[in-house]
Amino acid sequence: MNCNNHKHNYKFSRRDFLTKTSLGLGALTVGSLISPSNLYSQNNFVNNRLPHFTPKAKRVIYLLQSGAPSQLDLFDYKPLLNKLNGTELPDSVRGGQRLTGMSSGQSSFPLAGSIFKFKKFGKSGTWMSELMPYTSQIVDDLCFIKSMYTDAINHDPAVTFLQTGSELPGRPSIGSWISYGLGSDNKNLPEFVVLVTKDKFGQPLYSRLWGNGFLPSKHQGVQFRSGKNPVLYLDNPPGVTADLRKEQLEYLKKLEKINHKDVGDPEILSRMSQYEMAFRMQSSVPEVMDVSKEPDYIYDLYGKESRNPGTFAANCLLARKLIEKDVKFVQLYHQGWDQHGDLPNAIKVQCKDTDQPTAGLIKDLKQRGLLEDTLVIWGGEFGRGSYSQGTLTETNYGRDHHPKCFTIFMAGAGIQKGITIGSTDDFGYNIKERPVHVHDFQATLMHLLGIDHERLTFKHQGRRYRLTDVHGSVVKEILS
Amino acid sequence: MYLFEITNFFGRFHPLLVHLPIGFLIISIILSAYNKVNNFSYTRVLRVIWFLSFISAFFSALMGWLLSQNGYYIEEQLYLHKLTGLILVFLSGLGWIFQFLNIPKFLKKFNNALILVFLIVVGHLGGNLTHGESYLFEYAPEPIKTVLISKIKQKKFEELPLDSIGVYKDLIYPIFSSKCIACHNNNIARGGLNMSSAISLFKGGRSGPSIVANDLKKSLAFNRVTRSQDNNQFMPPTGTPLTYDEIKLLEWWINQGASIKTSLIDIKPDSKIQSLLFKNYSIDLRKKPWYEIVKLPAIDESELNELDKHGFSCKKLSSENSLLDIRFNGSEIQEKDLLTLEKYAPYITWLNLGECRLKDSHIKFISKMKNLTRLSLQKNNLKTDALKPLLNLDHLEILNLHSTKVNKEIFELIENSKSLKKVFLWNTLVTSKEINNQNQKYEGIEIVGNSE
Repeated sequence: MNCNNHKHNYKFSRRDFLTKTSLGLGALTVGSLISPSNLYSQNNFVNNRLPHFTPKAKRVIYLLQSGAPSQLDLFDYKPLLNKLNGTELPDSVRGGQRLTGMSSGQSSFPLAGSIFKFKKFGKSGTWMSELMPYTSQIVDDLCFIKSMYTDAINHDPAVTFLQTGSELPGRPSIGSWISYGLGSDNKNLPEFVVLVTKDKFGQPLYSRLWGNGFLPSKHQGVQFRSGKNPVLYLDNPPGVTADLRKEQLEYLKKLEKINHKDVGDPEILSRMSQYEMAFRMQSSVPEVMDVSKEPDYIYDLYGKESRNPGTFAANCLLARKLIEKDVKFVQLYHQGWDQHGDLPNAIKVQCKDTDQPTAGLIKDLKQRGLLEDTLVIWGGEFGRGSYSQGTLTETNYGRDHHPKCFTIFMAGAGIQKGITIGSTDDFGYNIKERPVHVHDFQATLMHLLGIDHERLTFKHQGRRYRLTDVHGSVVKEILS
Repeated sequence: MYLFEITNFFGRFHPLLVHLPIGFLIISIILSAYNKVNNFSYTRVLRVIWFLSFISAFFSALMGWLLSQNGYYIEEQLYLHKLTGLILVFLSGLGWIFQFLNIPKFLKKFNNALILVFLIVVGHLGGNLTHGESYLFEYAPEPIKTVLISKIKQKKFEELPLDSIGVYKDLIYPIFSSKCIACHNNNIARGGLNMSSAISLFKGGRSGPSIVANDLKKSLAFNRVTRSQDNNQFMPPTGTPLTYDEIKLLEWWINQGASIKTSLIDIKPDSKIQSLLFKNYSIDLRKKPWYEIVKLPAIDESELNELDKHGFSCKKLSSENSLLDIRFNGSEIQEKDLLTLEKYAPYITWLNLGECRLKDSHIKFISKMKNLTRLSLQKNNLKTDALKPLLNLDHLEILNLHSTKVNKEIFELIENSKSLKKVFLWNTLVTSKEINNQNQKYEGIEIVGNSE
């Protein structure tokens, strides 16, 4: 996907020539008069100036909980909702906030307290609900942000926003930006690997969520699947040996070099490097996907589902193995958190799938010393509201989408342990303290990797783009 | 962008120039009306203009004095404006009188020059009062800005040593000065409270003391700013209320004894205040890691290809830091590889030699890397005794030994190290119980074992 097609036929187009000679030199002179300190602005030479400063984190594991988990039933303890259970959500609290089409027609908005018990855990005294017994044990290693907010109110724009910094599809995913900015630490594996929990339903996930957008296509996320063929079409067909394949690629490379000389399309180079990467992956992927040598106590740490390939638990175990091999960005997706109705039962299942593996992963990274330079993130695309969608009974309720506040947690490199920042009002509806926008979160993530989010840009269709668009500021107070 | 800034810069001269046509137009109208009545000479025109200038300066000063009574201006800034304003009125009166007297020309010229100087000074000070001190030059081109603004701009804390940042002087007083002192100063002390000096601040006002050390409830300055904004005792009654962080800072200062002399080095702020100071003032109270302190000349990157051939992947920490982060990728490391690595010894600060059949005899190469801060030796058949040379490393903070053959004698080595902060001993011959005991004994060094 390269939209600068007009350039392919010329190494320098007329437009380039004019821009670079006349305007370029002119602007340089004027620019130096006006602002000498900005004369050699960083934007022109992105890649050899990265990382911009010493990184705290070298790798990231992002456990994306698709569908938006209810922060009110997991982390954000609101006893007032239990006290006022069944009474109307006050207009002064809602403040005219738009609702989705799914609950805006309701004649009443009864407040719904969580039916789950909350308790304080750890030295940090962090409130956690009974739904996450394993994660509750490691709260002193975690950093909670209870005041996240986003712009979108429906899943697709919200998850696209979270992943690419824009609600409109077509921008590069966070992992692609990282791959583009920092490059690879392991030549035999892709920089950006995606693992999706198998057999889950709910809000759809598209490959564009881990797509490269307008960046060169080698920066797209590579999905590893469970089962015999972790990466589709990677294996040689029957009868083709490794040597044969190698020889074929050598010849192809020669031809493509000629082609590139004539046409000049950077995608040709990108494609060739991907062929070569695929060849190396033919041996490196089976090696990293082989979990048969893991001892029993490691499987026990991640939970018994970790023996079942393709589950969230098995993917967490794989994520650790990929991180050990210096893969830069591992993104897991787990669907099924979109609980508009029957929340109390559905959320139990979700927590059973994710609680122990998440805690197991963090513990495993910790004991191996990997948590020193790996950042782990857990969270969804928005939160859920404090009034019941559908009928509220004593044991059952549902919750609609709520973009005005939600909770995520992080652990590991460069992040303070056992802290909570931000808080919401007693109704769990509005942010009371330290709002953190999705762009702020993205800026912080990049900061931890040694990237100034304002300086990592890519010029496309005549303007420079960045992950955080023109927004975002680093959440300094969580940095260790 | 430049265009935007430059137009903005010139735009800010509007308040300066807008007063000129007002005066000029009025004078033109008056003179042309006067002219119809009788055709008078140049001298008489001048007399009329001088008279009008004096009268308008006089009334403008009078109105200004009335305006200053409302208390929304800060006394120190107001004082100079008042003084120079009065002098200007006097000088313009003199200028008018000089028109009728036969005095030496140089005296008139001298008076005119003085008027010109004072006109600029008074006007600028007045502009600063209404628009703020940085208003005029906020969008000035870079060279003008560096000359002019550097003096006006507030202190850059990140460049100052901590002992010269006074908690009251540099953090608390600026809050008062921006939100309270307009109504609580030497001249106008609403409610009898004057916050412009520390002595009068502690004395308090008619309702009681504004600051009582270690007592938030009795400290009215804290009490009033934290009330509900609908409450008629809420402070400040107009303008921007104190921010959450400002209130937290005030609370912390009172709870710390509300001393006016302490610097940030005397009291150690807790982590919440630390992060608040970092967020709002860029004051970083955390110790810088060694790899950020040591500065070495950059290595030519083509030289590093040699390491690549020996199976090391090697990266500079950042574009601004020439220290190296190195990992061995092969399955078995040889002495010749380590000999090559040794050439870059002072540059290596993060080193990962995990799972590469590292031998006990190899440790001596590592012990020469003086600037090493993180060392990963996991999954090698290393024994405790062999690690002794690591004690030479004065800056080693993190040591990863998981899945090696070290035993509990490693504790002796850990205790003797001056720099170690974290050691990973999971899956070694050291038991979880031993690790727990050690962790309780030595709080400064965290030992990570089995996570269960």
